[in-house]
Amino acid sequence: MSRFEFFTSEGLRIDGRRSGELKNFESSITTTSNFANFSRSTSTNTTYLQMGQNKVLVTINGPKEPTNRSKIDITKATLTTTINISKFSKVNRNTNKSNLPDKQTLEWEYEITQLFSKIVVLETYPKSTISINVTVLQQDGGLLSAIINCITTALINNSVQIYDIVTAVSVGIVDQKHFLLDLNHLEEQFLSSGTIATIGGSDEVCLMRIRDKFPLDLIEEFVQVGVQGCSVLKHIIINQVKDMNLNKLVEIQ
Amino acid sequence: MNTLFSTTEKSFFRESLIKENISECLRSDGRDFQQLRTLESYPSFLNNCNGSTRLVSQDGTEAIVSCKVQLLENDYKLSEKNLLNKLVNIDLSIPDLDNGNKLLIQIEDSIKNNVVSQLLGTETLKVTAKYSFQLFIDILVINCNSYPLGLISLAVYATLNNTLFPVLLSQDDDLLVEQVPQFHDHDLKLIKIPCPVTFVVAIFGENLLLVDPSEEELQTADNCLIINYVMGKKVVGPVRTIQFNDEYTKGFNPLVLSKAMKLIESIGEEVLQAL
Amino acid sequence: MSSSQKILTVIKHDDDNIKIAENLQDFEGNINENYVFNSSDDDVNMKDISDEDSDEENIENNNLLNQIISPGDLVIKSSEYMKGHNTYTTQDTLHSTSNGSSDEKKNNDEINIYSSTLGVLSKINKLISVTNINKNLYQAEIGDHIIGQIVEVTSTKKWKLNINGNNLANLQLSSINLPGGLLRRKNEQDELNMKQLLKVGDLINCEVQGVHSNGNDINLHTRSLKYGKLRNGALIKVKMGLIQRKKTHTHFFNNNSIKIILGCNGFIWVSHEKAAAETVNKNKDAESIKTDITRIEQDTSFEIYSDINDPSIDLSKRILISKYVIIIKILAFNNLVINEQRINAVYELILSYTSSNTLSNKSSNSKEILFVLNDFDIMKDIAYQLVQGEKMRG
Repeated sequence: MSRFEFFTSEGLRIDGRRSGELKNFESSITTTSNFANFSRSTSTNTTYLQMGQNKVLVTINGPKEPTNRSKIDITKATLTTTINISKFSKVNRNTNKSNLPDKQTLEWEYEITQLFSKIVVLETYPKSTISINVTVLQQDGGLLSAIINCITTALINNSVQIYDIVTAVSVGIVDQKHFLLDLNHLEEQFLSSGTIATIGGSDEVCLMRIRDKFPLDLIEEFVQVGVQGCSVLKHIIINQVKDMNLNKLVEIQ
Repeated sequence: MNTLFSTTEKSFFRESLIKENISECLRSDGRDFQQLRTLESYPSFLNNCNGSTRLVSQDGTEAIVSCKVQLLENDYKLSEKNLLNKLVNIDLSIPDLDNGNKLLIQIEDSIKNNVVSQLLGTETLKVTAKYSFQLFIDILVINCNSYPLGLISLAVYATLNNTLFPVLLSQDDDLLVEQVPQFHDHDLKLIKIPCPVTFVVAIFGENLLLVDPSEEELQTADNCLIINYVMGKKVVGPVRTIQFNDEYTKGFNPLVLSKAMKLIESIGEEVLQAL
Repeated sequence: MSSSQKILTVIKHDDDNIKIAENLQDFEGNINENYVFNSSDDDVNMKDISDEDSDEENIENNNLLNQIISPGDLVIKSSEYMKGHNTYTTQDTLHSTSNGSSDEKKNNDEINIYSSTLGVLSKINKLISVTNINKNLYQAEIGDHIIGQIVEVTSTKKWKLNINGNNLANLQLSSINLPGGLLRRKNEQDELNMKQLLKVGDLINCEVQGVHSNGNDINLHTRSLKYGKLRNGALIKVKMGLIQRKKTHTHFFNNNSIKIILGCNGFIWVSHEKAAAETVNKNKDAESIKTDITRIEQDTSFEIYSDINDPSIDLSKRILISKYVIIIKILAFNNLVINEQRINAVYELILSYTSSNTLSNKSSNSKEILFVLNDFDIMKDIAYQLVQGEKMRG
């Protein structure tokens, strides 16, 4: 298959994790710098999420009145997503001169817009727009899942109403039998892998994306592993978000 | 990018700054005239770059700067200045501004000038006779709420001061040797590039100068100066004027210029120390 | 200049990133274990450091944590209750998600109410709603006293105002006080002069007159002498959650010389109030009410739309305004709800703070107090003192 041994007989992966382990997950609203509490010009927070070596920044603009009148939807809000993958995000700098996004980014933008249009309670904000701006600062394996997790956290932090929490995780297959959760860069390059997102840590899969050749007889098990990973992630995200907002709660009461 | 202020607010701010006596003037946010706004910094937060900094200003503007180092074969037909222009690459992106935007080009140019001017005549980037380091400095601005040049230049300065370069191992240094220089696998060393820092100074009336003006001060100032300062108590060129409003803009007394330079010289060192 | 005052303060967030940079492949272990481990570690530390005090705090924290409802959580399972803000029922989701499990939910006779935001439960009779923790959008209610900023003058006899909501609010030409008193009827000339009365960028002190169609068409009015264009001061925007609905939103401080309007929508206006003129007016009123009422109206209404600030505001008054602006910033910085008592309490603290500090003898130059207060360490310190003081009093 490949020259690397991705899964040793002792059950360890190249970075020392076990098959079902997630990478280090860390999220923070970075403008908690409290200065934003009295900032004149913005009411938006920047959410910074670090999932392994993926570093993603998300700012959410809105809901607010659209500047372009033609985009108004009287019954609900319109959602737009832009993903900016910075040139320095990979180990080797992207020397492409133009700043236009590549095909994969455009595809992701479309998929994420579709996904979150179902998640955000758009009916509460008629005649307005919500724009999600994603900036990728550093990428590792499973970038799409990191982006989705970061957007979810950002939506909660910006108090945009959502039906439920969406979590995503990437899964890969070794030797037709072992499943690895939350891939790193090397694993993603050499294994057949995919991303799975679920709603609220339940077994409702809302996004599945497999881009490589894939053994179809393993797909059920593959989804199972992904769903389990997502439900673990959901608890981690909720606990972190709750912890962050604890001090504000005291004041409300 | 422009925050909306009401006419009464603007005249209120201006009235408190246009006074005969300096001691009667007051900044809207209660800062001292030469005081900069508090910044938050996240140094070296990207680990696949040679150097990086994230600076968050009080008004929510964020500047993220990354610096990557690559090896480049020297081209001997080029003069030193042209060579440096090729070695130093700046890429700036601000949301909502497209690639050809004048503001973008202006900021990009002034940062590049700053870096190149300090490298002229030095051999900081030289590796061997045949090879040099090539710098890729990428700047991202997020939530741009006011004129970002001051913040960007502070971030670039901080980045260039924490950029780690690979350590050279091979000894041969000859134009004829075709060999690519060898570098140590892990060891990195810090090379400080003395990049100048840009200060924005707002001019109010005959003798009042405000360092690091906030958005409301930019919109009510007579005129603004952009002054570059480099380590060692020196103000370096270019010095430019820039206007941000058409309501209050007017000419200024040339004497103010030398006063502004003295002011920057007196505070520059402390600002650089703080970063 | 005092020596302790810094020209540039930089708050540095150094984390373990640099260490990781040295060894790119060194990932942390199992996040599950890691997580549990971390939290238990904290517990141990807490106990080590101090006694029952922090223990109680811990339990309190845990209690609070359990009260927080996250999006998607089931709030209540009963058909007796009605859903309020920030909640949805399974019936709502039916047309948006057509998944198998939501069909199952539909088959139940009971209506389940779910939360759609991060917050705490509030129950008024049979209305279930969730109070948002991170509120940053203003939801209008009739009678709210708010401050808005004009962003557009439309051709259809109205102004559009930014009131920090998801849509702009409307201010009709017919719902403002026209110059020239109440008795005058509006004419075509007024429509042409709309731009002279209120321009783009002007800040308006107003009240919510009506909310239509699901809370997104908001009409405002300024038909009272206490409302209108704002002058002689400065605006601060704070996070929505920091201001609570009260009976009055206009407060006077420092012998009635400072007026602070705490707009329900998170806009705060701090201004100077001419105390002397007011009393004169009152005296006149007492003498001959009838003749003067019309006169006052005329005077004020011509004055009401001018752009010129009161020229009598001198340095000491400006410093006082700045001081109150900073007080509000201190409260906002520390996520403390802003109200009249707190502003007064912080003012007291600042006085004691500066007098105990050797560096500033406030009598000579009170401007220095402002420089000192801009330091974020001091901001935190003052807030800490405030919270401690409140705890003492209970």
